[in-house]
Amino acid sequence: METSAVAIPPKLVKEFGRIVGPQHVDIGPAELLVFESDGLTLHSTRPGCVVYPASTEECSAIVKACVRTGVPLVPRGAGTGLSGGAISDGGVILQLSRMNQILALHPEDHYAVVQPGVVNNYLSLQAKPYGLEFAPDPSSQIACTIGGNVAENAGGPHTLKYGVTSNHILGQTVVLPNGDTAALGSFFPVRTGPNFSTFLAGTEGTLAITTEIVVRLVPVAQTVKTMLAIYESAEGATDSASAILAAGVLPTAMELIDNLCIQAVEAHIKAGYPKDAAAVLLIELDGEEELVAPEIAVVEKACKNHGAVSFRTAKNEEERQRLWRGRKHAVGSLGKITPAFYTNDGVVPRSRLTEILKLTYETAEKHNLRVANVCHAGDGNIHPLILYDPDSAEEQQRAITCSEEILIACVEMGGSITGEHGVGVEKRNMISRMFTADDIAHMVRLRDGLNPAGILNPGKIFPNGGGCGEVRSATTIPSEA
Amino acid sequence: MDKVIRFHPPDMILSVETGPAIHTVKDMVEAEQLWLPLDTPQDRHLSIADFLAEDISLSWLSHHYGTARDWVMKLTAADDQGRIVTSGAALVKNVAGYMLAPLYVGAKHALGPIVDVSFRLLPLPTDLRFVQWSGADLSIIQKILEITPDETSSLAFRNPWEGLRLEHHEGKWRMDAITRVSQEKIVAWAKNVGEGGPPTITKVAAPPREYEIGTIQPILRIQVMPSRMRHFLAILPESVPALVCYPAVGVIHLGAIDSTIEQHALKTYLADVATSGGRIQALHEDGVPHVPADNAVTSDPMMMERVKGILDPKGVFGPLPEYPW
Repeated sequence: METSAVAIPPKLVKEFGRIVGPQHVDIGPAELLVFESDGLTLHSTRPGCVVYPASTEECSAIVKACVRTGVPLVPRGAGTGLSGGAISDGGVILQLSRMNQILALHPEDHYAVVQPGVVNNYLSLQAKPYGLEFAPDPSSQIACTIGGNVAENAGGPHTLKYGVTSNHILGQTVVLPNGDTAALGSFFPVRTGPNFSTFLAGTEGTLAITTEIVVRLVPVAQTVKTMLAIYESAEGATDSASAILAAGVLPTAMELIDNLCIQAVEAHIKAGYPKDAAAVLLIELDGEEELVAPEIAVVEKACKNHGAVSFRTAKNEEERQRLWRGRKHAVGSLGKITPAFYTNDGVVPRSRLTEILKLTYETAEKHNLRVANVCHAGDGNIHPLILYDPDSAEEQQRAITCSEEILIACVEMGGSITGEHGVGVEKRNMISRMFTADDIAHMVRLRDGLNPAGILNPGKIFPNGGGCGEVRSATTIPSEA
Repeated sequence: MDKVIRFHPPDMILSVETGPAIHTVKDMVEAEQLWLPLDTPQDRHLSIADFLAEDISLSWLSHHYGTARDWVMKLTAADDQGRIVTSGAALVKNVAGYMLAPLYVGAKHALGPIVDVSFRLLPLPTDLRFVQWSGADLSIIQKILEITPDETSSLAFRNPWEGLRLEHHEGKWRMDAITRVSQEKIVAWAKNVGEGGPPTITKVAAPPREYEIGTIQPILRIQVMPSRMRHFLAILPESVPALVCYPAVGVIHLGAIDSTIEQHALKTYLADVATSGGRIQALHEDGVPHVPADNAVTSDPMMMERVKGILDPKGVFGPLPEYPW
């Protein structure tokens, strides 16, 4: 763990107690321990204090107190993020888990108003009796919160058809970096014109704290069919994904799971994936019943033309759920075969998927490491999971280097360092691989203008200046040679 | 500035400068069996730059496919010091850095001119049917919309229509829709209504463009919650000569309002819309009656002014559009 950079004045802790009640303020080392990292355990820093507000007004008062004392503050949901976006180096963690209410659900107009601590899957469960659901479904959806989804602009398997979180946010109430509140967007299903609320999605809590969200709910499809195609080579699976889209079919999801992941899944939950397959492709179609049936035939043909040795459609809901459990728990299942792994979130143009997948295996082999792959094949979003021994600092460093090399390759192919996990602290020093100095300066200019005291989530997304604090303004970033 | 920067169909991304007409690039991607699911109701010659700067992307596709900002994955603009700056990536998915497109799209170049963009694309829908249904009575068309799968929902809400619009012109109502649903099913729905005659169903290779089927130049936009759409269509003054509406998103576009009688009748109606929390936006200056103030409490204009002050403090570029936008 790094050394704490900020000291919390005792007076500030007392003020927090007055705002939220002393029982909702933690400063003890044991309580702070769980906030040292999020889902990315390779980065850890201890916060100085954790505060649990229950309302927009309390959030506002907390931010104003932080502004007065110059203490930085990091909003945090379930802590399932995978880029170190929700950690604080000695500052305040604004833990939003008490703000977990669905404030309104309007099935007739297909929207809900939720607090940021509402768990993603809980919202869909509550909307389901009305024939609706919240479309973004990150793999962590049974734990991750809507506020975190907004901060990271989260995706998930079904974003291929339904888009990411920013496509499903109609409005927000936010607390600004000076403690003022702002109501953004509206309840209307679509709006034209500039949209500050949509812009905030994916800014990782660096510009505002989301305290209420108006989310779009989408109708649950009349028919949902899930298929499993089995391959003797991972290339067959990636080629099939391209062929399905080229045939004019837009599945809701196309998920590739490779052999090592299959081994872990079958050891853990027995999803019914064949252990000897090089890869499986999980494909889902939804829509009107009469439209889905012919699409299944197109998908089957595309898969078989590209090397699928077996293809089946889930016969019932139980089998469908079992197939999905395999994918949703694929990452967690790795605990069966390794004590630790490092998750990568690169993206490539879809046509380079086969190439980047091959490169992940070659890069891991070069570093004498094992890699398991799951990926959103329709999006070109890969998740190589690099296995390592956490007791070996040298092996851990090799895993980090391996992951960075894969991300660099993604960028060289015209891709991105992150498709859905965010930049956080993990990849802030890699962002200049994607953007020019002017590009970054423009974004930093906006950040510094909107968050002038640097109170909100400092040290995330953009590179640190090194030593004296992070990059502050446009002109301080040297141009690339 | 009319170059295609990159278009490799398997990537399902088009990167293009902003000079070409939006429909030119739609033609180009459709030739490769891909689709940019955005439309502009009137102007076939509209450039990408104007399309994005004005955000003229609310169309008969919007209930299903959103508006322009949902499809811009990368945006490059000039800043106030003449530097070319980019955000986003030419990919179907990316969350690296701030994505500035939601600020620039619809800002009328107030933050700087947009010089190129990358659009996400979809497979071109195949086996499509273009459905047209005409009648003098709005209630018949409403029945058509309501017998689609979820009869308990508001108008056309869970609907199989990928494009949907209602037009009222010269005393007649017409529904235009595109769908992948089979002809047999559409005919069966129509039979259930039992009035109004059969719809015209045409098989089409690609979704028609709205400017090909629309006849009305809107001057005023009303937006209400979709569940209130039935009410606001029912109480429309009879003197309103022309309108087009997108029922699933609660939008009514009124056409030319020429006479004093029409203006007078409309004033009461607009007041009713405003009282119920609806939004009213003048799309043109000429012939538009007094528009009541937007009742919604929103910080959007304040935040955009703040962004303008940060990115263009000397006012090098033009002003932000007047709210409501």
